[in-house]
Amino acid sequence: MSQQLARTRLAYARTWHHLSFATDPRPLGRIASSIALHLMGKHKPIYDPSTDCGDYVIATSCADINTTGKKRYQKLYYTHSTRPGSLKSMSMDNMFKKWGGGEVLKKAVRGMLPKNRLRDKRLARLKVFEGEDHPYRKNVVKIDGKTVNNDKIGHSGETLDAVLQMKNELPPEKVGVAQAST
Amino acid sequence: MTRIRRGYIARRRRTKIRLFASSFRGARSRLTRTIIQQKIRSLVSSHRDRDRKKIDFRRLWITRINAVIRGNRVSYSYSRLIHNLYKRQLLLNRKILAQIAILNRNCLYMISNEIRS
Repeated sequence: MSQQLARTRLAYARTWHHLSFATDPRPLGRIASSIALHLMGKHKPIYDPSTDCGDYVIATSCADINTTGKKRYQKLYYTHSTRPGSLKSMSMDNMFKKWGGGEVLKKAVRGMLPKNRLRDKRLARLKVFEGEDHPYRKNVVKIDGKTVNNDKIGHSGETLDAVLQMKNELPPEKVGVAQAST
Repeated sequence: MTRIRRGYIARRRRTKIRLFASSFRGARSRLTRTIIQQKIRSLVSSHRDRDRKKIDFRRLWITRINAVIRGNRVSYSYSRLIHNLYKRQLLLNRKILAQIAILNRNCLYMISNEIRS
């Protein structure tokens, strides 16, 4: 019976999340992990591994991706063309220069998605941009000027509950409102 | 000895098996020898998967509860919720918690806030 609950188009509709590296100080891997969860749909109570219930994620300002330590200059990305002797490596800094921060983010997220037939489809829902401009402004839903993100993909994301509470749809208790501490 | 044909004995046995596999795809519902093998395989699958079903659904419920619980607060998780549930001796099982998570998310938040001591 739990498979038939909430089988509505609204529940399975894909939402668009926006994330800007200019305002988010978290390092590359931590953000990539959160992005991968959203691409899989694991932030939803109707999650099912057989259906692709993931969402879209727009990542802007990828040129400002933050990494700790000396990873930027020491982390190597390897490619091999299956021809003997064709192992090539490129440091993360050179990746940024040649392909941009978007590719670095995509490589990170790709490794965090489950390796199955849905991996490429889910990765295609990650839209990366080097600057702040992106053509999907109309897809990101806003209520009263605040982006409706029901989860924490943004750094200090306003939760859906906080937005609904502003509109007096929730009782004014501590129920469900994100606590900044703890 | 006079010659004795087997008659319809084997055919009756095989028809029963053929009825079982009547909805299978391709040769699996048409060819007798294949039908016998596929019936055995399908019964084995259903026997094994009756136990897998219980395991699989519990895993799915846990994933769903985790999804909703983590959306609420920064450092809360399914494991902490279950720990608090057992500490307060609340008898809600994962199936019910998962249904509450789908249908009435605020109710689940209320429960988790109450038992969070």
